[in-house]
Amino acid sequence: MKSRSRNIMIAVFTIPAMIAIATVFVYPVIRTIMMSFFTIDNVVSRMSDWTFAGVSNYVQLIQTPLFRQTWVTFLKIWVFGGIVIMCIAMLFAVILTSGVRGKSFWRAAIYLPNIISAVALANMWIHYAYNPNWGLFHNIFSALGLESLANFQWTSPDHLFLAMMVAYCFGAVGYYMLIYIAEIEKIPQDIFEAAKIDGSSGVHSFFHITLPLFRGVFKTTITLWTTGTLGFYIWSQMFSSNRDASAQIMTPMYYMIRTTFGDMASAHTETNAGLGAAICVMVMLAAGLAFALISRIFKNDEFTF
Amino acid sequence: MKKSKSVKEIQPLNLKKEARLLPGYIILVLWVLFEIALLSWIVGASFSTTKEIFSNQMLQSGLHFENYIYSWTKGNMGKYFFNSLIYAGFGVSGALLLSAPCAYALSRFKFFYNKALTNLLVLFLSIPQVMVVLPLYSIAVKYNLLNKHLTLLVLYICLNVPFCTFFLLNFFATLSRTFEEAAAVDGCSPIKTFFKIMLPLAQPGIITVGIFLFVNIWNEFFVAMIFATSSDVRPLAYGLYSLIQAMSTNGKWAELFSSVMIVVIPTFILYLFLSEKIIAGVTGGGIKE
Repeated sequence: MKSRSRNIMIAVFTIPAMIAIATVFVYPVIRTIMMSFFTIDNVVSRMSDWTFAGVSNYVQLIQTPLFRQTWVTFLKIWVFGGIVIMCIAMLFAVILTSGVRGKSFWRAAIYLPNIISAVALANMWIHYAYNPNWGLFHNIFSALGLESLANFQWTSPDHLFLAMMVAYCFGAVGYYMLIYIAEIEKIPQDIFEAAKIDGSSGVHSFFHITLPLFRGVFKTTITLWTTGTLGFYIWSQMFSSNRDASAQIMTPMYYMIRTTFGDMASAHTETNAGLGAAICVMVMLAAGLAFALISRIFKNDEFTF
Repeated sequence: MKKSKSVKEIQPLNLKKEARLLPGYIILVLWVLFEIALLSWIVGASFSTTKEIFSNQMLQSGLHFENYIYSWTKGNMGKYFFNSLIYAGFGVSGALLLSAPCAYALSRFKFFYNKALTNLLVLFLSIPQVMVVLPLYSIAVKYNLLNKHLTLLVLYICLNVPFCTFFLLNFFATLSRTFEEAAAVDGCSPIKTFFKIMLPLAQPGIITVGIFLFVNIWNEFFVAMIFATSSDVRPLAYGLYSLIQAMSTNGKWAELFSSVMIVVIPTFILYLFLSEKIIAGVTGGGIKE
């Protein structure tokens, strides 16, 4: 009797959540994978109207130069953005755990951009910070007498990618900083004290104690960064809207949305939702590949205190 | 938190230590000053006229609250505001209602699909939302569910279940089992134990994840863009995006910036009071070690 009531309770507690997950994750993921092997006139076409196409959607995508370019853009964001964000986040984490006053204020201030809508934030950067006449960068560099930097055209097509990355990284730093701070605070302080007694400087301790202990959290942050970059999309849309096609910053996800739902769908004479699904599957495969590589590289790195 | 702050202020000023930390202070001050400049300019611009913004003479003719009135009424931001409030409020409650019991069962009981379900949750945590949108969109069209408040609400609830459950799962795991044992000895049924004892004990975790989710749904853009094409059901962030498209072409810049402020102010106020909770939401749920 007791075990029966226990089983009923487990069922009542887990089944609603499982239905939710099945509806918005399990079923869509399976159907997306299936869709990627079919030619589908419209996203909303019924399954009986699909025409089996084998891997031709994938072949067609790989043969599209614009689509190949989206992966180059992805890699550029992943590598450059990743290095810049992780280094600055680590720098702030080290500064904030070194005993500065007002730690919780600084921490909250640096994380602040993360609670502001990306649309609002991108708008501040595009229309204020980067404005060539009265923008923040213009004013700062003018005040410092650096005229050439003051006249830098941030939002011209040539510099748009840089402008987007600066704006994006400025906000993202806070998120990774929080993770690094939590990890540094997990390291027992007596390790540092023992090192100090043995004559290790703060910088020396950072490279020989903190960093080696950090391999586990690097694994976590690289994984998070990879998923984040694969889904990278709103910032491209914000920086690309109202621009010539050649100036737009196309990530795989942005390309998928534009061709399936957006203006690029109507521009083509024949649309094929199978292509969009194939892009989704490619992104999922890229994520899987990245996870496999990451867990191989960081095979023995799980430090728990 | 306030107590520990005042204790810190009492610490004597150790000049040698502060001098060593000086480079750190300089970096922090520069970074935060830049951020303040960025945010305060938007505040200023939202109260100025478009002409003042373009001639770099903000706030010369006093505070123009009419920008906000224009955004709120003619710009539809008022409507979007209440839509967002509905989605964020009910979305958080719904996600918690589904997740909290599931997380409790997963953390406390052994059953045959426990491990499978936990692994699935972690898997779906790392799938970008764009992955699931095509089939969901086709369902919505097929059953005429586009542009309905309920559709967006259900999506916001369900899409947040993995994060919410995973976060609470870790939280329940930190609670001692002695409470349940004592309750069982006193003849309290497991379901009653959950509602009367464990749920109140888990309140800090539930509040943390709830606030974190509230901010996320408030700022949500992507699902809204696909499922809310009509302005009647649009939440703020996507509403702002459509306004930007319109206002920047017809030159209503001051009204555009006051619309930005309408999106930012609520989360900013929430953050002023609850930043510690929101920050705890990141480090509690984000780290999977």
